Amino acid sequence: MTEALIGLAALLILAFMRIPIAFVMAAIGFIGMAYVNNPIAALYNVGQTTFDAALNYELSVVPLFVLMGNFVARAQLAAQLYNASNAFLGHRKGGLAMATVVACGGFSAICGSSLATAATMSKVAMPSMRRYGYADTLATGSIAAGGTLGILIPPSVLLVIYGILTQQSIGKLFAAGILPGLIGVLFYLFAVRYVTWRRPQDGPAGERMSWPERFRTLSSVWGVLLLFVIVMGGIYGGVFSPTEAAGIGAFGAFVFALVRGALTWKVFIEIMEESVATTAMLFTVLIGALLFANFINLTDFPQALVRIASLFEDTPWMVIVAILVIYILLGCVFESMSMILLTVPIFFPLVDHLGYDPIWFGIVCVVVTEISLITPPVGLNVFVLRGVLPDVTTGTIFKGVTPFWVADIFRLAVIVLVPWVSLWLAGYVS
Amino acid sequence: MDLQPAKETAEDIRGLTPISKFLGLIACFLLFCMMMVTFVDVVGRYLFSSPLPAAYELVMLMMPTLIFCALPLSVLREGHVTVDLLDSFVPASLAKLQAVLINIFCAASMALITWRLGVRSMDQYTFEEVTDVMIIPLWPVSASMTVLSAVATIAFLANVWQSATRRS
Amino acid sequence: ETVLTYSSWIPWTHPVNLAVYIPWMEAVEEASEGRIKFNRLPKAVASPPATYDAIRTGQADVSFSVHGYARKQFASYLFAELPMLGDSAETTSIALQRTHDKFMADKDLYKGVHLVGMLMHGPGQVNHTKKIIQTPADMEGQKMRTGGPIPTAITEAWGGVSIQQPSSKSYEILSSGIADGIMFPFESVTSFNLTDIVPYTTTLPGGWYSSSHFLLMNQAAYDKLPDEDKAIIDKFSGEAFAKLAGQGWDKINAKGLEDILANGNTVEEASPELIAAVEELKKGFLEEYYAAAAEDGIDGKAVMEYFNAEVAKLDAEKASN
Ligand code: NA
Ligand code: NA
Repeated sequence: MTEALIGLAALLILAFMRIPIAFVMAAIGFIGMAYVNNPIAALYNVGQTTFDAALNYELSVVPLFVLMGNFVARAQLAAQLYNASNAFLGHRKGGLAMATVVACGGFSAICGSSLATAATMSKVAMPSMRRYGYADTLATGSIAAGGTLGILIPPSVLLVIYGILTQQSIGKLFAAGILPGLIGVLFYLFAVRYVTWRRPQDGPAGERMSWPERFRTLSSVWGVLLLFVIVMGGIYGGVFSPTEAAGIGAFGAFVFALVRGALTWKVFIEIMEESVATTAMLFTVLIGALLFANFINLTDFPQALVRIASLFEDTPWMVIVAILVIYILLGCVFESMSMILLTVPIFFPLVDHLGYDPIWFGIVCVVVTEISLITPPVGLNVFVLRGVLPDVTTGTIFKGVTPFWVADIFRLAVIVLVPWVSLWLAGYVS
Repeated sequence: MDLQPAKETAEDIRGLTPISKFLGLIACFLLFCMMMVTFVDVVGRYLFSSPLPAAYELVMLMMPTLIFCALPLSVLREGHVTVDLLDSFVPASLAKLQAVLINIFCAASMALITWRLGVRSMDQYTFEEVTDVMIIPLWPVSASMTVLSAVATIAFLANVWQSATRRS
Repeated sequence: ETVLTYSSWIPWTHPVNLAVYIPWMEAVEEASEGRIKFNRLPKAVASPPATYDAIRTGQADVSFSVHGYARKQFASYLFAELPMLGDSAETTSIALQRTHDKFMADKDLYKGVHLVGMLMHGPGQVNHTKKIIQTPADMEGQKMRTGGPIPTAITEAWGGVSIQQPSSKSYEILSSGIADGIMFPFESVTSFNLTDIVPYTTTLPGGWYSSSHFLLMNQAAYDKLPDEDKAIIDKFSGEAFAKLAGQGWDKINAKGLEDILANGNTVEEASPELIAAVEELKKGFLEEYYAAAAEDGIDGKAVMEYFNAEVAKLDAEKASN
């Protein structure tokens, strides 16, 4: 118990000293194992964990969903989604921000990663919001927050990881993520509404389009629909497994980009390089998190947590509340994937023990870790935006996402209190 | 998604950049193959009732090389997730030392991983560890991971050098 | 007092843990009067195929592994995967242990670890989503999820398509129709939640295939034990372990069959035609095994004869009790 707490404290301190989180987790995991077990065994565990994490069939969805997202981003699908949502919403107050949120939701349906969603949408939506004189806070806030939808609305890399960790059906998890994702879109729209109600000058109305024009833009989003139907339909129609779906989806997006003429050789190489660099980054985090989890596994920390939780057997909801608070706090510093990897092996047996539905808990986990993407100090979506828009300060973006963050807390409450929202669609999956 | 690189990175260190670029291209090639293998496997299963034998094992075997070939590239771009909240409080004089120490920390961790992968590889050779379906020996896989993570370690050392000589 | 860490790559609530490994741990704990305790790690320290190495290098003290994970190292045990070896996990497990003691014990095949004992998981069956398999022709074009060389070879010999996916994906690929059937023992059909999905089971006398597992312990952890505690571990090793483990598997396979029948599934014994066809295939499998065993300096033919004789003897003893 003490070792685990010291390890966690050291983790936070070193992370704040700007050492890459992946290597902090790896180093502390190794030192912790050496102390709790023995140095020789810890040394062997480093080699073994690294090898096992890399030689893993199920994790092949990670590079493939990332690749799919990158192909889709270059095939102008995001721009068309944005134009279509804009045609319907742009003339309202804050309409461009609303269109951004809706387009993010649509893009999430074919992209497995939040970072890719945020990066793509910032390139597409930011210029027109600037043109219409939107405040940077609202503009960047809607993109950073909208981007978080990427990991909840299927396909989702994070739901796959949760499914692998807890042996739950990935198809069910994907189905369970759809409604909470739509609720997320709805609540973000309310957040935009709220901002423009308080400060109308932040989101001036754009031009109104005629209905024929609107439907014309709608007809161009068929590509997104087609890809979504191929990937999800393939999974639920039993044509391929969710693991294979990533490969099929990437291939579909590749063909799409090719047919659209979006792929010059240079662009193609750029897409591939970006995808493999992201993959390397994600797997470094994964390996670090696994080493740290191996250390925690050897301490009696997990058992102690279960013991503490069993004190609340009569009021299990208190355990859930405690877990949520821990997640939101951890989410300030950690990135969503490290958080899931670090905590699910610890919390899942606990939640399972208390009789909660594992699919429901998966959605709760993903929603709550999704919030971490936009909370300071480490909010990856915020960083991505700052990278794409160097003239906007991190502070501005964090300020801009605050209303969306509040919307997320409301959504989290709905999902926690009404499990039906997650379980209804999942019930239709055999 | 790539995080934006810091202003100056070690990308311009002689020799290392072309090597990591080349390794990156191998990773790209493997990723593309992985996509095609899945596609051909699924299509083969339905249209010709003949899936690619052991497609899952093929994909599995491509993963480590893909990841570790791309590693030096992501190291040189300094594309790892960090907490930079305190950056504005660190005086410039200290920031340089901080950057050097961080890269030494990473280089040391990477060196540890390199060494242990090497040992893993030798053990796999000794115990004749093989894959499930195709009975392919595993030691060459871990051996190539060892070599590639050695390159990543060198890339971190290059970052140490770069941050030590960087004018702020 | 000694605390041994046990790493399990199947969940602690899995029937195999409940019926085999936890009872073994409890038996040791009880016999040692509390001097030996097992710390059941919440999560496995290594992937299933890497478990042997994890125990060898002391990442955990005790775990179990599958001979089939190391097809080179354990080539001489692969006869235990053949069809028609026996209907009881208890008798086949004890026979396997005796065969090991007689032919393999002196070959130093378990380098760097202490072998506790071994088991066989009982007869594997053919389970199908849509129809009962009663002739080789029924297999034509069927997509079967197969693990290991024997189920794959049978499927392919009769014109079926072998889908090779990790066993953890079984539910997914069967429920979605990617595979039409699966070869599994009764226990696994229920524990992988497939009872509703594969309503048709064809049994074969002695099983379509089997699989052998072994319990292993870190060498240093064993050597460090005081003599009286070593004696406790030894008492529950070898044939004693095989018996306990085999009985456990028989129990959960019987429970699996009971649940399958209670669910209204069809369970039929293979037709004489099917049995003859498997016997024909088995000849080829045996030739391959003899060649593989010869590489380790083991007389595969003698191994097979001894094993079959032991199974027959044990079955007879069991019947007379
Ligand atoms: Na998504
Ligand atoms: Na955060």
